Amino acid sequence: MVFEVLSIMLMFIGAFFLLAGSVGLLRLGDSYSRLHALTKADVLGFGFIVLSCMLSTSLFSNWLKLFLIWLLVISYSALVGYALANRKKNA
Amino acid sequence: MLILALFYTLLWLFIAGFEIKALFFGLLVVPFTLLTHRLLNLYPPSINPSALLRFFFYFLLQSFLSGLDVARRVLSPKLLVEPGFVVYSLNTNKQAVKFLLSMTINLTPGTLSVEIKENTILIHTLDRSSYNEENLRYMESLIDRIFL
Repeated sequence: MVFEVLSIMLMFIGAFFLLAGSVGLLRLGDSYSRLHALTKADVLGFGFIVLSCMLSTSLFSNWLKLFLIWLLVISYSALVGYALANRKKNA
Repeated sequence: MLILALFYTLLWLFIAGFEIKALFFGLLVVPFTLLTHRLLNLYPPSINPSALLRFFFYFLLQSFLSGLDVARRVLSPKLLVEPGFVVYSLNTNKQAVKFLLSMTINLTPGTLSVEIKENTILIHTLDRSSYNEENLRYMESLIDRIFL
């Protein structure tokens, strides 16, 4: 019960940061600044969602899988952020 | 190479399970991954686990702070940004350190790496007045200790 409530709360916090990322994407002026919103706010929001999913399962293998997914998504996010910024600079 | 093969096989079995379809694709994916290592001649560097752990926790903290920072800036009515470029000069010349540092810079408050050069990184910052070089310097020293 406690874990369920905590899990739902974390899910909402995550959704808030994902929303903030999208708001940043709309409000910021240039492509570089927009990448800031996409890489940072979204990674944090995603982290909270993964935590929330971790709380709703008790299988160790699921925790490990979620951790792997988290690791892959954040590395991909940082990498894509760099790739897009670099392409824009050298275009 | 053998250790890598074993690692990828276990990873695949763990993620995809033991169904016949999963095993079939695993037989395709694992050799291809190994072939990529071979063709690019890239192998995982040897690392120092305790330094990696320290870096990991520092990184978690930074990532949390940077998410909060960006959310605060874009949600405030006046849009508190003052974008600009800065150049960070590296102390190290290890390739792996440069790469991991520039990836970490993307998840550090207010900085985004744009171009890795010989011994500098071009950084875009969301707010020139809050750019903090000491923080990056510290992070570089943490990362430098990971790779032996």
